[in-house]
Amino acid sequence: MSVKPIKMPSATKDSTILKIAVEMLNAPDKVPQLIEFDQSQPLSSIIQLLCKPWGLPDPDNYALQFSESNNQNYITEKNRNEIKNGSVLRLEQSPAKTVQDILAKINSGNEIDQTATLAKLSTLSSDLTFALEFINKKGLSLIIHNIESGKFKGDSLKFALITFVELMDHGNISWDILENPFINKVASFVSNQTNTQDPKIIQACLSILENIVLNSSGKNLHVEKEITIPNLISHLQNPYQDSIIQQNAIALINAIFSKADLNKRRAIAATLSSKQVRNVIYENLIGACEFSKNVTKEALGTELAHQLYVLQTLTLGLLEPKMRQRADSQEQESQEKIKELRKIAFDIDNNSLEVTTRHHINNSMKDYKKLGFKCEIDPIKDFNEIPPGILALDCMLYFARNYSEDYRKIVLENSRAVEHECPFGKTSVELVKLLCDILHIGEPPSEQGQTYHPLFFTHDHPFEELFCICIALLNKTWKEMRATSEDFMKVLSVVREQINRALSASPKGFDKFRQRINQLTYAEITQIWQQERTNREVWESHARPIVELKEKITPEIIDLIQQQRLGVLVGGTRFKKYSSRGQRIKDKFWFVRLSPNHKVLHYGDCDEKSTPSLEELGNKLAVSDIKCVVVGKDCPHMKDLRGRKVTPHLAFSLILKSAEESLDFVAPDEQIFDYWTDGINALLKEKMSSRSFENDLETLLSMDIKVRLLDAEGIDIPQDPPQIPEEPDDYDFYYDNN
Amino acid sequence: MWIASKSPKLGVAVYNWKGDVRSGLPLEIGETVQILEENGGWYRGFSTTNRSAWGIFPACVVSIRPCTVKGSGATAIAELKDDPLVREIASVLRDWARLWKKLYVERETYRFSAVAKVMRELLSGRRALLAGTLTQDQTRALRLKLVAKLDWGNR
Repeated sequence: MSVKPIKMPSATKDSTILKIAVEMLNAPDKVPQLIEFDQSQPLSSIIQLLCKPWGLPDPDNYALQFSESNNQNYITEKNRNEIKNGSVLRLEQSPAKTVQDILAKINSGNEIDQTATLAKLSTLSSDLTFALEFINKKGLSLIIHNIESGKFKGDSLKFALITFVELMDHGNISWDILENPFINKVASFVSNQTNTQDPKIIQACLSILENIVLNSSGKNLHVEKEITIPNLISHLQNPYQDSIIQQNAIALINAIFSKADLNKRRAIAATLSSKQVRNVIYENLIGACEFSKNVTKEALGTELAHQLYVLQTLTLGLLEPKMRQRADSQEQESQEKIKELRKIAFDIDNNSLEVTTRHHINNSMKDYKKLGFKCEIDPIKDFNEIPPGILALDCMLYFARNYSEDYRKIVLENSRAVEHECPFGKTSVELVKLLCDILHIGEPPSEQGQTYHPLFFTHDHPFEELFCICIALLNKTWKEMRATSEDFMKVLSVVREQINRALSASPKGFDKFRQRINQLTYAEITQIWQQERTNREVWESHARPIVELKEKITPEIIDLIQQQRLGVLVGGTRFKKYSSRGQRIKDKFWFVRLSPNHKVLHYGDCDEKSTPSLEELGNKLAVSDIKCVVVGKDCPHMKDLRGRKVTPHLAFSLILKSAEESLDFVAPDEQIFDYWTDGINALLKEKMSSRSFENDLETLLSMDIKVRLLDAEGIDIPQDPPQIPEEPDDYDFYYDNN
Repeated sequence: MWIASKSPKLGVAVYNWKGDVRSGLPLEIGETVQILEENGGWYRGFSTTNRSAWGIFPACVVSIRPCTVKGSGATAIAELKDDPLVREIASVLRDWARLWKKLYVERETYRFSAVAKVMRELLSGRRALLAGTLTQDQTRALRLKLVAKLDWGNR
């Protein structure tokens, strides 16, 4: 292949010159060109220079394109800086020329031509340069018109819809341009269940409708009219199990949900929480998610998880008005609810509830006290705080009605007016507040959120069910902690931990949740906290400032150990006597001790019990005469061990500087061995290295550090060194000290 | 410009600092400092272990702790606002740490390990008190236990 480089007019050989290749697709006669691409030259003149050797007459009809698999955009003056040295570019028909050809083919071509053209168009449309050109030449209107009129069918329709999605995706065109007939048409592709549609068509239509709902002004109402929730739900069960259809269907439900007024939202939520719909969502999405393990499905899974999170957040959000509504003493409904709580708890008939004599008022106060309300005279005041407002009252009543036995048991157990009781009313209000906080009720869905709880898709009243399990848990934990009313907040902090931990395991249903949370006893939680503290300590012991501090104190500690070892030597030790060949000499002992000035070792024979004084020891060895200490098999008396029972690991010898002499020892145990070898090494200014030395160092050092850090308990040590600021501007201190 | 702190503060060093500027006060992690003057990112004060050596240090190497102040101006004395038992344990542990090292050098092996055991119990009990996760009953019980340990050691 002969490549003829083109000489580009370049003034300087600086970084604005890139070496690149340019090729032309489907043109075997056009040999690729290697050129020096000058970033300071306008693109049009570069294209002109490229056209010449290839004999292309009309340079205006050409443009350059990237040729990477993820980027085949046209090169413009704006994005030309993305070209890198060594890039391979393509010379292609210019966007204007391409648009012209495509429009002509759509208008007049036969069906096969049309489909091929639309296929090409659908990929080109993701390029902003092309899209703008196409929209400018009224291409978008043409596409909209032909979709609306039903001119496109089958594959043509598919590619037209994809093109539409891509063109709108650039965000340059307002969604308000769409008229009802177009919306009807798109909606009909979604609602029409009889035709077996290409999944891509349904994907695109769902996405278009979602965008109309979210981004148009007012057209959402029209979409709501055209599309029903059950119809969208049926797409979750689509025969292809296409996860993009599922995801787009949920996204459209979320969009309609979030734009609807409160009444409509309630209606949607009621539809969604009906058992049939719930099961479809659970079986097709949540269940399926758990089984998919391959990578591509998981990547899709994050978007689906986000949509499920949004759905969950919107549904739970319906509780917000109640959470923010204070109970009113005049309000009949709440009064009735409180009476019902009393009725269920104490089996009172309606007559006695209504009577208002002094005697009965006393009775009701007693009952309300037993129910654990803060305000026994007028319990409705307990629901004045928002959150949780009357949502708390509703949860309590739900519990009382649906789990009457458990309810009565909890109330009775805690109404004996003893110190350790857990008041039902007061704790329920706090628990609902806690649940609202954990589940972020009243907050709009976040852009990144992906945390959804499968169990919320398994019940018509998931929040209330959660409350029922957690109020029983709170009672159990209260007892485990042997808590009193002063400990209320501490119990709640444990309960919060229990709920968070049980939810984070994504239990599939309320039974699993109950099981999990009952395993997380108070003892278990304390242990987890303890473990976290320990982990923190381990981390901290390796944190840089602590390591620095350890290094700084280590010499002081070594000095202590040295003093201790020399103390051992001065105190002296009684050794068993061995022959020079390492043979135990029966019943013979000798004693060795260091002089208090640490200069001379005194030694001599002794009996089994005596501790001879310095003067009683006849032999002397000046420390300055010792060359080194050797241990184990290196000792002269351990050289020949054949057939003897002596274990050499307790043996050590002092090798003397003069001649081949040595003083040989066998220590009675490892500690004395360690102490003596350390002591001798210390005398010889050598490093101590025994196992006891390492242990003592660690013991002394870690205690020292702990005591030094007493005031820093509970304070976080920074991961990275703090940034030291510039030195102060002046040193004119306020106080005159120092 | 250096201005006097509205009221003296206490801080605990969370990092080591060499003190390598003019009038710098070198700090070791865990050291408690009383702060009397401030200037931008800098404080001036002294370590509570040596009240006569004043110096400056960066604000970012200390973490401010709640304290109570007696007196005012340059002679004010600030004390950590911890629970009295928590403070008592800290001061006892500092004393014991010195004696404990002496026991080591003097080869009082039994007392050395007995004291170490009680010191560790005091450390972890103090930590539990500070973490604030115990119930009132547990706190009361722990306090009694810790006071008994202190008494044991001070005998």
